[in-house]
Amino acid sequence: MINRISIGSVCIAVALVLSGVPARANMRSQALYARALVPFDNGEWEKAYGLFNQAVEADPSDVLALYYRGLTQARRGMLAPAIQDMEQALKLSPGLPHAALDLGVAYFDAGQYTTARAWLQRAHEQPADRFIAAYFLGLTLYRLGDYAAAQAAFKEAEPDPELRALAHYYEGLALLKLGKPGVARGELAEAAREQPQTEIGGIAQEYTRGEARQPPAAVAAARKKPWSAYAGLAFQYDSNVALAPSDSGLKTEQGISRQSDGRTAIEAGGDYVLLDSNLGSVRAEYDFYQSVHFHLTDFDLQGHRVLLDAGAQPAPFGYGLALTYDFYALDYRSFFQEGLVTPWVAYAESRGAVTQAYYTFRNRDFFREPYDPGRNGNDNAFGLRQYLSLGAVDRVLSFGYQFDSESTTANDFDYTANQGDIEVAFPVMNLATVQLGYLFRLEDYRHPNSRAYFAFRRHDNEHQVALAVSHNLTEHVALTLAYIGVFNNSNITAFEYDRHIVSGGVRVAF
Amino acid sequence: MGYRINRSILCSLAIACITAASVQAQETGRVAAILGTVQIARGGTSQMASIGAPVFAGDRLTTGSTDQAKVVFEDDSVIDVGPGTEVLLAKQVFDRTSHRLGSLLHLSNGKLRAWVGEAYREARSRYEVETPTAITTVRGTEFIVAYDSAAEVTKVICITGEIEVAGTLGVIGGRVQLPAQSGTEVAKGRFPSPPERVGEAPMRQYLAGLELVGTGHRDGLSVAHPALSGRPLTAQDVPGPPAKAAAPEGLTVRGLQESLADRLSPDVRANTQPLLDFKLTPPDHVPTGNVNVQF
Repeated sequence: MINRISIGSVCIAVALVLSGVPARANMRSQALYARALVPFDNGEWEKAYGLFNQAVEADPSDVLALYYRGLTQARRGMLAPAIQDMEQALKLSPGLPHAALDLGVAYFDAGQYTTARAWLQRAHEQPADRFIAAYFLGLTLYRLGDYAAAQAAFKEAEPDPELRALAHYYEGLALLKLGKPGVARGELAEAAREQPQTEIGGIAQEYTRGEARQPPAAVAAARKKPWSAYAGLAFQYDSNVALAPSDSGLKTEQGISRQSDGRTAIEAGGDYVLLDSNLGSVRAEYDFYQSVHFHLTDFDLQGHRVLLDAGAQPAPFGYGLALTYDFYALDYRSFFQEGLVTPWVAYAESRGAVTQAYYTFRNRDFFREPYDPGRNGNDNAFGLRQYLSLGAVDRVLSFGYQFDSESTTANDFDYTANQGDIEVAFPVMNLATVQLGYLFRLEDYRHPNSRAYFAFRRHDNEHQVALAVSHNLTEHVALTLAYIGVFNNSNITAFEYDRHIVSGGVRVAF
Repeated sequence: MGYRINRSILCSLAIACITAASVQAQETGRVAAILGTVQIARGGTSQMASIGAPVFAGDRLTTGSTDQAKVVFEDDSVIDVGPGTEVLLAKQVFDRTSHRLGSLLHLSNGKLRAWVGEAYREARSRYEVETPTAITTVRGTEFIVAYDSAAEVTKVICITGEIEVAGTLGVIGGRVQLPAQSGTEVAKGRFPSPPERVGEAPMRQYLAGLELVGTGHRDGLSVAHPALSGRPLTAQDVPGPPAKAAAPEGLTVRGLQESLADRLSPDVRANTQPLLDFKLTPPDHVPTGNVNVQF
């Protein structure tokens, strides 16, 4: 081991000299950097971080101080700033030894597998890191669902005696995923032979003896609990609570003196997994919502939602059924209720892409005039949705198309609609989770509209923009910020309106 | 009386011993990085150094032919000790209150690089590296001193700042001022050669064996990573029939189909135009007045 370290370190030194790493830190940063190495070696990450941080402040171009601050940040679990530091160090010194490997490992730990793969492939080209990079590359490819490439990578890591058992084990798993149990058994037997005393050695041993083993206790315990609950409180500004038309003449005519207001929004709810089996899962959810306006209290909205969601996630085929019941009260009086039934099927083209097709039937029933009974009716919607993983569990892009047709008791609100939308979710430097969505919808009403004195039909187009940012303060408490913009254009001015909602709040979830 | 005298002598001796011990025990720096093995000789004994080990004035550091070390001192100076080097920390005086710093290193073989801080710009401070043939005096700079004991030649390279090099002839004169990126050579019994500019390639040669990254061990994130612990990383990392078919990475298909705006706000989801018509109509009444609702 000592030889290995020495050879490795000599390689680093030689590589540094040859690559011309700018070790030209200023005197102060050099002293602080050297001082920080002592707690770093001792695992005192906070102390080491403080000194490396001072070194970087003393000289922001000190490559090694930056790089080691990054390594220390990663040890402290701060992966986003760690990645930032290491990338900056690599930018300043492209030949910095081991940096590609460390970046690859950091991205792997952050669950950003596509980026991890790129860095690990680069590290794999470095002779000093070839085997360890191959092993982490194998793990990354395995997570990405590219089992054939993962198997090849694990095979490459096997000559390293310290990695041999692990590489055999994961190669066995990749082969099982590839539907090659015979060869997989051989690899697992190798892993068991190499390291019988380790947990993976034990698992491999049991498997080769014909006993399929359940996940280890610690891992099984980490599985998601069957329930979750949340509560949230937000303060919102709504530019158009009353959905007043944009036209100021119409506003005057309707006596609208105030349309914007602030409100408190309270939400609470939870879900429970009723059934979780090989065939799929069934989940029940309840959500409560109440808005309390500061001035326009007539528009206080209360919502209750009960949802039963059954389905099997695609692997590669999936299917499901969502049953939803919504009840809304406006100004604490019944407003409307609706039921939705959404059966769906999905197909996973790869581990990073899923296509979903769905149909939604909705029946909406208003409780009071003037909407009751005229606007009571049914809506039938057909849609296609594509989900794409952006290389990590928390980076998902989805876009879809939907056609729907609404039939109401009265003629004014019968329409067909086409809509397209795109949505992306991603983390920002481990600080926040961001969701961004845009929707465009065209509504063509079937009959000449009463607001146009039955002279022509109504045509609307609507743009929806939504941005939600969530920053976790603790494991259970998050700050939430959101903006929603709705822009409804119509050939009948009474239906034209803009709406902007800005929301800031706190959400507690368990 | 005799007893009292003896007792006071003993006390004085004890105090002197304690004082001497405390002076002796005044730590002047610490080993920050080691590649291979480094020996520290102190008070007639020698021990293998480890990272974080204190160093004292009078310590002699020795590296093997492939070993390196980095030492950081209380005065914020740092030395990188190259392979096959023997250096004595002859004098280390760090009195910041009187702005008096003094450091004298005796290099009897091998090479070292020193980083000397601004503190040595003070008139009363002096940082010197001495070899059997040369004395290098520094005031705030980075430089290399290499001494080949077989050839009895010292090479001094100034990387940044400026340094002064003199021979050890004991006669006045023959001092040279080395500007950055220049070097000189001092053979036994000679004055330093005139300064010569050091090009990129020779500079790399001088730096070889002095560039120690980190602690000298593998410090990267793959070290002690859970993926190397011999335990499965996740529940999916066990062979056999999976408990449940896993969904693609991060892709959970939604059942209920709603836009992000609808999901974020029931106020957007539930409100339908023309909402005012609804609000301006009292319960159980048909719309009247200026509210124009016709179906």
